Amino acid sequence: MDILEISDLTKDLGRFRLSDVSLHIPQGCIMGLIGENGAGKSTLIKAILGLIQPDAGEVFYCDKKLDTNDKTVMEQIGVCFDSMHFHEQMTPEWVGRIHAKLYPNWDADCYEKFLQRFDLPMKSQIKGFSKGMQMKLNLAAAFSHHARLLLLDEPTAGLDPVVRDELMDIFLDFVQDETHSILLSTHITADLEKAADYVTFLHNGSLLFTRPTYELQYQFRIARCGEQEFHRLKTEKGAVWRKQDYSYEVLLPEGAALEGKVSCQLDRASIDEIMLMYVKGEQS
Amino acid sequence: MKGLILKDMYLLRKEFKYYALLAVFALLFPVFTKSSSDSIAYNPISTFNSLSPVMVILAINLTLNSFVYDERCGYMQYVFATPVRRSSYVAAKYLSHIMYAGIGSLIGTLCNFMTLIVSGAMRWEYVFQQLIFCLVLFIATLLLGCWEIGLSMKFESTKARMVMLAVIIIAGVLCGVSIFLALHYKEEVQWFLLLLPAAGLLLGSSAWMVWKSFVWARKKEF
Repeated sequence: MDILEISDLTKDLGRFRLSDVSLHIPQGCIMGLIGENGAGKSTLIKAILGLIQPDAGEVFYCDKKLDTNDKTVMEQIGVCFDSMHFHEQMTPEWVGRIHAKLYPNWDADCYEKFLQRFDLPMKSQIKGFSKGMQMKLNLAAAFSHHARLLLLDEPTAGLDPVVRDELMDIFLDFVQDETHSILLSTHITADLEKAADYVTFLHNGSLLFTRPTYELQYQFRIARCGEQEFHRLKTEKGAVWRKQDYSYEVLLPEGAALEGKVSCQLDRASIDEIMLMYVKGEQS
Repeated sequence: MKGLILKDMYLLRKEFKYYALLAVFALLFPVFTKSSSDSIAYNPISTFNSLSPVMVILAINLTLNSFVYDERCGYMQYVFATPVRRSSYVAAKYLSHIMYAGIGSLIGTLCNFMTLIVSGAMRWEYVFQQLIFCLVLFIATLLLGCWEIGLSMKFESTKARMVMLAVIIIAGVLCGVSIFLALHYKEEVQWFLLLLPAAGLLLGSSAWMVWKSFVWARKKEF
């Protein structure tokens, strides 16, 4: 069963339009959401949460239409935005006290354990926290009410590689319970390579693809070739290319199958390279 | 809703401290200005502590400040992604405002009683006057709250504060005239009691309008 299903979600914000986005997140998985700045990742998360009203489309949570006024449903959804939404005068202790009133299933012990794990002082004001510490506090709050679905908007921004690695382990632990899932928007694609089961790519408000991470890692190839080879490769299914100074780069979604069949070198494409090619490259 | 009120109380704790200090000052104010006590027995207007309306205006400011705190950190965006409904947020703001209005009016009235006690002009007939005065202050605060909360929800607190500055002058004049009339036409004082349901009605209609646009139509997006 899918924990979250988004069907043809559309929102016109004037300068930007989220167009007919459809995706589904199965239970027990981490879905990475990638895309350049302004691609619509945060808008999509806000539309799921009802913070903006979609012009069209629907969101389903566990096969039922998501009603953001339904407390029992919203209790099961944890959120972490890319900035701190607790006032700088607050302390983690008070964040906990207030959340205990907001979430009926708030787990104070779990919250305290996360604070200790993240090395966050209970009684210090948030204004003295670094960006990384603030993000850790956001995450501690998101993890401490036994949510089933976590919607995380760039939660690893501002965190050092050690903490990011630890966080990925926490995310993987979280989805060990197969009723749990995470939608994780990020620019740090290395994190997704480690933890995500699926990657969804948004570009200019439209969904380009949703693919299993292993497919991106093991099937996508980048060919660096001359003009003659380029003209042959550009006709391959889904090929995206970019002209460099003296050569062409061609991204081949099914490039693994072409290994040994082409004269140029085929390299594995990282998620960063795939994103770059789709954003900057050309397609027939 | 409890969580939202708790959060506002926590963030406003500094303001509460300053408010308490000012309340103590306002209560002691008649002691410092005792020299004018001779005229008090003859002029009921002067039985009023000039700081008492200030206590009410500061109480109104608490509600506005709670919006400022929420806006600064984008709290609304976060809180509506939790099980808190928009209706609970609106209700929490109105309830807090009624609470601050009540406390502010009571402190304002206590200041007046202090003036009467210190000047030695305390009479039973003044007790009734003071209770009416307390009611008028409470009504004025509720009326200002109608504007304040509605404007803050619609335009955010900076614009709301600008409009409130203009509104406060009008409301202040109306409040002053009401108090003056209440003192000079004591026998007609029951008419002032009609102001309470009128203020309640206005506050209610303000809440309904905010509710309609913010909760039902969800016009405000984050």
